Amino acid sequence: MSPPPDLDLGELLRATAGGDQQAFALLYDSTGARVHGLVVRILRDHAQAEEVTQEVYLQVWRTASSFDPTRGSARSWLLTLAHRRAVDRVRSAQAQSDRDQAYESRHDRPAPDPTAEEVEHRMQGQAVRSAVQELGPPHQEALELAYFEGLTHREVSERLGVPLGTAKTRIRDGLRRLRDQMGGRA
Amino acid sequence: MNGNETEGHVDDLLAPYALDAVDDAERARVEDHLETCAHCRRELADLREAVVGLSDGHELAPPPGVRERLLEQVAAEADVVRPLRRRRGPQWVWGVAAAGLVAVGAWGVWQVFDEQLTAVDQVVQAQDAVRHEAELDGVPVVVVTSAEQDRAVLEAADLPDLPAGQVYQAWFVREDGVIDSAGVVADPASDAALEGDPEGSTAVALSVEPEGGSEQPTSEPVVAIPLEG
Ligand SMILES: [Zn+2]
Repeated sequence: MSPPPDLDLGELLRATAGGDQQAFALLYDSTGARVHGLVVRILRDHAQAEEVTQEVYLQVWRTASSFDPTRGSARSWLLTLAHRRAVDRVRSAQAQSDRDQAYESRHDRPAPDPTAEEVEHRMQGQAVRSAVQELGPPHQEALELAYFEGLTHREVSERLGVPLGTAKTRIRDGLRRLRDQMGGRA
Repeated sequence: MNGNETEGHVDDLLAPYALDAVDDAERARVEDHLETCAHCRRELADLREAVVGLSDGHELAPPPGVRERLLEQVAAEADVVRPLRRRRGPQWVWGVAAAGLVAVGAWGVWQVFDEQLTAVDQVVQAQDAVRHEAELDGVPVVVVTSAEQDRAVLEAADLPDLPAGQVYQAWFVREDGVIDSAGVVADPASDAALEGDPEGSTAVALSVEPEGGSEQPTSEPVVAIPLEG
């Protein structure tokens, strides 16, 4: 069995907090695609995503010492930081209006730009994809609207045309089921 | 899981919070609650591991320029900050300093004496005077050094006002990692001669320190001015 990847990431984060530039480079090399992929998926704009990814890692460099392993894994800390930063960007007024227009034109099917989509398809193993898909459309849809579109749970309920309580339940149960499904996976 | 909807917990908001799908008021409510509730902290950590799964399969390598720019920037910051970090340990985080001022403690003020005003002129007008500049929230912060005079001057700068009882303190960051106080800055709006010899320093750093200043920095640097050359 290979060592848990988060153990290594945690070590790299700790070293980064101590000012170790090599550790920071390693951390970037082992997580950059993960972070950037998430940021691209949220922003749908390669130029903006590039900026945000860079901001995320600068923030990692500067705040690595705030990583607390008792509050979650290093990977989760990193992705939380990246997601928050990307969503903040999305929610800024300008970005929001741009995206609203984009949304009108693509209806309810998320359509990443061709480059991203192509790469995604190349990288997406069936097994990887299945965890979210297995949740079934209502839960998957609620989770993806919240996580990738940067909507609040209130906005999710509006977008889906369901009561707020229903949206909350789908988000919560979807996440719990996802957690249970992932339980056995590395 | 209605049994878990104990009044006072934030169970119904934890999942949206884990997805950043909350508004600012809700975020504040959740974070307040998390401070005091180990149960919800555990639940959140658990949910966040599930959130990690949401972006599985979306990996996309960043453009190569990102890595290069990052490592350059990090190296530049490390030149100034590493000695500070080494000294203070990881809790002394540079990032917060870059984001703005963090207020701490309670403080005092130190007088600018006539002798030091004279020193200002001696340094600034020295033949070998060199200006070193950095920015704090867009405000230029300038240190002038003179090897001939063995002195450094912090030029008047429009630094953010500090709450009563707090003060800016200047530090020489030495090449070997030692940090020496360069004196409390009584009035940032006036030029001030720094205490001590800048020789062998890689930077002058400013931090916010308690009344009367500190022997060693007790807060993060708000700005560091590299003394190149
Ligand atoms: Zn609680």
